[in-house]
Amino acid sequence: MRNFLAGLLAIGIVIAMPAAAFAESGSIGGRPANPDASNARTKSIFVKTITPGTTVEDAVEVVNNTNVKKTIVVYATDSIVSSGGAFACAQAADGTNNVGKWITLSQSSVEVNAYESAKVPFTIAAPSNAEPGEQNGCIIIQEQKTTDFQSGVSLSFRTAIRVAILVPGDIKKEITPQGITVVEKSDKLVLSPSVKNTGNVSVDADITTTVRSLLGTVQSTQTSTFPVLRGEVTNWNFETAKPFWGGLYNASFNTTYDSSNNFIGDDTEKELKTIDGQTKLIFVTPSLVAFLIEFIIFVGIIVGAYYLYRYLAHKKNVKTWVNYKVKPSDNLETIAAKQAIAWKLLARENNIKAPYILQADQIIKVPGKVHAKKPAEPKK
Amino acid sequence: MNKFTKVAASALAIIGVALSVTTVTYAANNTNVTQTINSGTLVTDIRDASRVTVASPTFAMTGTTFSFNCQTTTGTIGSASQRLYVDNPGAANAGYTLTLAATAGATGLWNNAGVTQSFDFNDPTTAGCADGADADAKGGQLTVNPSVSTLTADCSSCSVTGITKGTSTAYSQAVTDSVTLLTAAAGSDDVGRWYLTGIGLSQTIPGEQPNDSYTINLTATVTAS
Repeated sequence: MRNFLAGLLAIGIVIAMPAAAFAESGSIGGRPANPDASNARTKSIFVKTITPGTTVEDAVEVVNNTNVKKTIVVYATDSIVSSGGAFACAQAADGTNNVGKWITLSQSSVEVNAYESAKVPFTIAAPSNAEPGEQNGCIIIQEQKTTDFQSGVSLSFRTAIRVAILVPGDIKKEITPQGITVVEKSDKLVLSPSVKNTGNVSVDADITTTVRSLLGTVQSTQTSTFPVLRGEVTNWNFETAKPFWGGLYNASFNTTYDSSNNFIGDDTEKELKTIDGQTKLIFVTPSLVAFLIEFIIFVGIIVGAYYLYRYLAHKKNVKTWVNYKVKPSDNLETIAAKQAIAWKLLARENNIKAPYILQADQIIKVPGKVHAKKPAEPKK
Repeated sequence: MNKFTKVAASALAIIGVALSVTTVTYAANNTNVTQTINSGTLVTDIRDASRVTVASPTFAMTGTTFSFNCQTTTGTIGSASQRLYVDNPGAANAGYTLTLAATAGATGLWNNAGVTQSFDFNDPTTAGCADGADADAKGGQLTVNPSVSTLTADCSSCSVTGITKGTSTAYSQAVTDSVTLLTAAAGSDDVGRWYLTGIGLSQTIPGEQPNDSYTINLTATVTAS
């Protein structure tokens, strides 16, 4: 019996093993190997100050968080600007012309066991003619892979570590608000403020967007901090819930940033500067429920106004109209015609209901001025 | 000593030994168990609904028929079974960007299996319907629209607050070589896991493009800010 159970267990393990082996989990990535304890940003990006013509050394830690051994490619690229002004890294196929060229890695690939990491040293040599200000590059960590032809869009993945280099010299830190666009998207408003970096170093800017009613009541506000790269116009899409009732609102933004010469991650002696951006008047369509409520209220107001008008008119008529004794030949239409009013008005003011029959000698109210037809003058 | 006394004495002896052993055990109980959890790294990849990495993710465009006129096909990156994930296990403490670019760079093309037929992904001339003054002699333009995608936080302690989706953007050689899918602000969760589904794709194909199966490799890059 014991042997039988052991056999069953062994078969179970053999069946389960391939599934476990093929179900790869985790990913590969990397981080700076020697972060500066005084600068928290250096845990995730490289921040260097390099005088032109000098070289600095560092290392990148390549991490294999998968359950299998991996060959991981490590290479440097230039930085590029992605859509919306975001930081991005060039592809290996693009070659290097700027900071990517300054970086020399000790090896181009490294084999890393499952759940282990390896350090890859590198040097950054700033050329003697390096322009003052911030220069950016990337160190890329990517699994070495070959892919078979598959129709459609096939995807590859990589983790990039930004290499931000400050070349000392005349440093200008300045951003200028550009404008804001607002787009309605189902139940959301997408506010897209944009700012331009007119300096020569990147700026970590607090961007605050606000939607206010025309009375100034804040409907929604959001603040986020984003890097604005040197020389670039950057924009972001802030999504916020649409004001329930719809109508006219003001959408605005402002930006706050440290205008001191502190470089990335240096938070000492900040000189905060806030600049207001554009304010835009926007019309927001109400939600369906709000629209129905507003429609009902609108119709109610119109109907109410009509009845109020009729009531006031009736009140006035009661004061000014005079008694009229109905003659045997009269009916509502003939009397109304003589008074130059609508017969329905005459009926309503006298509370005469269908079939609108008048009795001779009945007293009714009329405007008072009888427009009897003058008899035609005899022809001469 | 009768039988009862012998049994009682034995029982007492056993209890005595047990108590003494227990005392010794308490003295040895000061051992500390330590456990270190190392921080992970910022990564992006495609995973299925069980969060298992998809080895070679591919996203098909809608099928189309040969045409003498310029035409458009559409597709989607990210689905319930192929989710575009970003993990930030405390590795990026001031936000990150997720971008998408052609692996072959600005001179990349849609190619057939034999690389004998191709069309462009970043030629803006007449919205991709004609060849312009870029480096190749091919027309075609790919537009990526992350604004229509759905961003989902996939952990108990994280949210999508401070993470903005990019705007619909068409590749244009040397002007827009990379499209921003996500930008996470410094104030977004430092520890979080998110995924995108439903990123819109739209490709214009120039007229008279030979019928064949075509592919383009795009690289998703996640970069700490």
